[in-house]
This record gives sequence, C-alpha cells and structure tokens, in this order.
Amino acid sequence: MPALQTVELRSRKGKLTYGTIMGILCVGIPLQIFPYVWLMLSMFKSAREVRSIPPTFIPATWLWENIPDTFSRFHFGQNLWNSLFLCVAVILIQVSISTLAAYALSKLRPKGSKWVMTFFLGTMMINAQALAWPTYIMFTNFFGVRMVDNMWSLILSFSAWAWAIFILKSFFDGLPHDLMESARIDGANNFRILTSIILPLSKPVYSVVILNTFMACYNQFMYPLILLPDSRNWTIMVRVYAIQGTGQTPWNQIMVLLGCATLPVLLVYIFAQKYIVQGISMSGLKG
Amino acid sequence: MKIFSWDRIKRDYLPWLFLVPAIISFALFKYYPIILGFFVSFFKVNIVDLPGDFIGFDNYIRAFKDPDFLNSIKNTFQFLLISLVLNFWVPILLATLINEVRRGKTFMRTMYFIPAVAPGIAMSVLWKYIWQPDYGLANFILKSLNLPVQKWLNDPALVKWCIQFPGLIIGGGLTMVIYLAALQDVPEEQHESALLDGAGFFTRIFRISLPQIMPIVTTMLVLAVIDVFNMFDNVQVMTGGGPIGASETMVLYAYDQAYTFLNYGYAITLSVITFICVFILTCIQMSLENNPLLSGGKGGGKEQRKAIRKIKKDRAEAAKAAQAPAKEG
Repeated sequence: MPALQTVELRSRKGKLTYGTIMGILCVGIPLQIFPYVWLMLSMFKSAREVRSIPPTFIPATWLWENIPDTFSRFHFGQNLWNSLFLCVAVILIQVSISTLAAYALSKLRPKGSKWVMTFFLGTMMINAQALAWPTYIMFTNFFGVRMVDNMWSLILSFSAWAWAIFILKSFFDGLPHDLMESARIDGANNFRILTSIILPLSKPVYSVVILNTFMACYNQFMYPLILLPDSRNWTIMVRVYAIQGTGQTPWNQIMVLLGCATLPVLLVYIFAQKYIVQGISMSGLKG
Repeated sequence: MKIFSWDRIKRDYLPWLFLVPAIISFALFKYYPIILGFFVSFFKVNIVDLPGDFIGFDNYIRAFKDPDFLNSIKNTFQFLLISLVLNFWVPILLATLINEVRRGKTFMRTMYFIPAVAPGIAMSVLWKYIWQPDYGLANFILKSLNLPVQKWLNDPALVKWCIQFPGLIIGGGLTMVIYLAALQDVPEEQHESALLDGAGFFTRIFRISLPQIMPIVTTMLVLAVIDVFNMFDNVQVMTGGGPIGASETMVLYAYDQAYTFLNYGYAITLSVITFICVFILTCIQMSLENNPLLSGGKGGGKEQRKAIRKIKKDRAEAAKAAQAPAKEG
C-alpha cells in the first residue's frame, strides 16, 4: 500500500512529495526506453549513418531493404526457426514432465514421495554455468551416441526445471481435493482426473509456466554456444554473438539482427505481461 | 492379509509412474553431470577416450596456483562490489517510488519492466555499440559536455563499470517487480496510525515499509551475489574477458580453458569450484526467511518457522486491533 496517505495529498507538503515522485519517475522512463527506441530506429539507417558523429536519432533515409538484406546474408531465418523449434520442444516436453510430477506430488502422494520434492528442489542449488561443461562431456558419448551438435541434447537438458514443478505443485495444492474424489467415485482413473479435471482448472498457471519457459529458453546463450558448435544449429542469440564478434559486419545490419531477436519476446510480453509478472512475483525467483 | 494385492499396488506404486519421467530427467541432466564433474575433476581428461588419466588433486592445486584464475576470483569480487554500489539499491528505490503512484501504476510498472524482457545478449551488444570509443553514444555525450572522452571497454579501470552499468536498466526491472509485490502487502493501517503519531513520509518509508520488505531484500542480495558468481553472457559478448584479463570472470575463464585450450578436465575443476561457491551461497539463501522454497518443505529451521508464524500472528492481531476502533467510530 502507498505510504503517502490520501489525507496527506490535500496538504501542500503532500502534493509536493507526490509531485517530486512522479517527476523522478517520468524523467526515468525516457532513459529506460531510449536504448530500445534507438535500436529500433538504427535498423533503418545506412552503414555510414549508424556510425556517424554526431549520431542521428531519426534515420535520414529509411532503408527498409536493410531487413531483407540482413536476413539473406546471414541465413537468419534458419536461426529464428531453430530458436522457435527449441522453445516449442522444450515447452512441450518440460511442461508435460513437470505436470505429471507435480500432479503426483500434490494429489496422489504415493508413499515416500516427500523425498522426491526435495530431490527436485535440490537441483536449484546447482548453477547451470557449472553444469555446462560436464553436460558437454556427457553428450559427447550419450549412451554410445554423439549428441553434441544435436538439437535434442539442448532440449533434453532443459527438460528438468525445478521451478516449473514448484509453481505447478503449489497451484495444484490449492485445488480442492473433493473434486478428485467425486471423479474417482464416478470411475475415473488418475490420468483421466488429471486431463479432465485438473488441467481445465489450471489454465492461469499454465500461462505463467509456458510463458516463463519460453522466455528462459529463448534467452539461453551459454548452453547453445557449447552444445551446438555447428552454425546450422545456432540459435538467434549465438548468431547475434558470433556476428558482432567478427568486427566485419556493419552496425546497421547488427541492429537489424538485434531488433529481430528482441521483437518476439517483446510481442509475447506485450500480449501476456500479466502472466509474466505474476510468474516472477509468485515465486520471488528470476526463473 | 494378502501380501500381493492389486489394490495396494494401484494405490502405493502406480502413482510413481507419474514421477518416473521427471525423476529420470532430473537425475540424468542435473545430478549426473554434477557428479560427473566432481569425478572428472580428478582426471586429465581425454575427450576421445573418457575419462583419461587419473591425476588426483593436481587440477585443484593447479587452479589455486594459476595467477589467471586467482585474477578471475579477484575480478568476481570487484564485480560484486560494483554491482552493490551501482545496481543493487536502484530497484528498491524504484519500487518504493512506483508504489506511491496513484493513477497509472500499471503503466509505470510496464515502462520500467520492459527493458528487462529484452534478451540479455541483444542488450549487451547494443551497449557494446554505445560504449564504442570512436562513434559510440557515451563518448558523444561526454564530448557535448566538454569532458574528456574515455576508452570505456578498452580501459581496464573502467571495463567492469561499463559491463555492470546496463544492469541498472536490464536487470533492475525484474527485481523491481518482486519488491513492488512485497510493498503492496504492507498493511495500510500501519501507515495510517504512524501518520496519526506524526511520522513524516520518509520516516514511514524507513521505519515501516523497508523493514517489512527486508527479508526479500536479503534474499535478493544473496541472489545478486550468486548472479555475479555466475556472470558469463554479458562479459563474453562485451569484452570476452579483456582487456588484459580485467573483466575475466570465473565461469568465463573455465569456458576459455575448455573452448580455446581444450583443457576439459581443468575447466571442469574450475566449474566445480564455482559450483561450491554458489552452493554455499544458495544454502545461505535457502535458510533465510521468506524463501519460496520454505513451503516446499526445505530450508529454515524449526525455530525460524515458529518465529515466522509468531510474527504473522502478531501482525494479524495488530491489524485487527487497528481496525476495531475504526469500526466502533
């Protein structure tokens, strides 16, 4: 709740405080948004203009052909497709694994399953960065198959995410137990109860989990960089990294890449901001 | 009593089928690699013929004699200091300010949160462009203010600040949302009664709002420390560890050892060392109050949970007591 009370707002001092707060916030917004806007505008500048001094804000001429040029030069469509494929596959696999587990832990509770929750949550203590190279070693010989440079190595290693199980379980815990019992008396088995009773009631939490999985997956950098050395398999982020590292690419084309890499998450966010914010504040964790 | 009963199997064992995929995936992709990491750190790894030659603790001894690795530890602590000075307090301030907004709160929150959704890599590249010494925006601003231009990312003294600075805008939004959610739970009655007692605006912020979100601030502090120990993406993109190792972090050094020099065993040893650091920090975080994992049945001693329950009870009673006279009047 705001610390400034409604009563106070009538006094001169209260008005002044409120005005100052709003003033600071309004000054901050352009500073926050500026890099974004500048990025979006630089996409249409010419290679010379983008590094001119003094820098221009609005492009002198709007070069729309920058976008198709960049896409054809770097096979960027392929990278975009890789990223989306990765996200969709991870969402499908991870969410279904997590759903089954959260359902069993929350509603079925077989003997000894308390320890299983600890087993899952314990992985939150392992940082992904430390796992990267051991995972690479593991995939060089994964049950006799070399899985490095294979999209599935990435998809599988992202399939275990304790956060998703945690969020789903706490939501399922809030669903009334009676619903299940009555369905069981009507002769539904466990799987049937999950699909026709639990899932329809859980749409909000699935929006949270799916969107956050998408964001986390799309932004991945270290794992794709290590596990997918072949440029055909690169995700957007690795491509962006590789291109800016050469020093050969003009900045306006890099800006196009950055803009196109940012646009999908921006769109997802604009249409689903409620769920993403909810996911962050629900867990108090950054994914 | 029948030992083998179909009903009992159905009740006690069949539900385990739902858990099996998750258990396999967690065991295989989380626990197995970390155990493998510990195992392999005692070997001079040969990638073709795993695991290679057993060399005992040599990798660990080498790590703590390696000036480059010690340098990366030093850098990590410097990054930590900078992130505390530069980044940590901003989301708290922002959340406190946004919490006061009466009209257009959602708009404000959105505006301050949007930069946080942008992919970190893309933003790091954009900031690399801004820091460019020749035609970057940062030097342009300095020039128009008649200040001497800087070399930014090429200057060992400035590079750490330059890498952490975008965090103000990128990472701030996420944490801000968490603080904002916590601030909204601070009961209004407390502010009302404090106002009646003559407490000014700032007194109320420092004596009522901030102490109530303190547990979350502590949690976020530990998470911020963990983030610094895990720093990789933005450094790799912006400098790749340079100039002259001034921005090399522990994870980045391990990456270089494996990727550039193919010293997999040594790189994994370094990873294991970072893992141990982060593990200790995570244990601290988990034992703190207001941890989301408490409800998952982990962390937090019995005493602590009792204390939390008592605080909650007291709070509820205080709120009731505050409401009662209001109702009478």
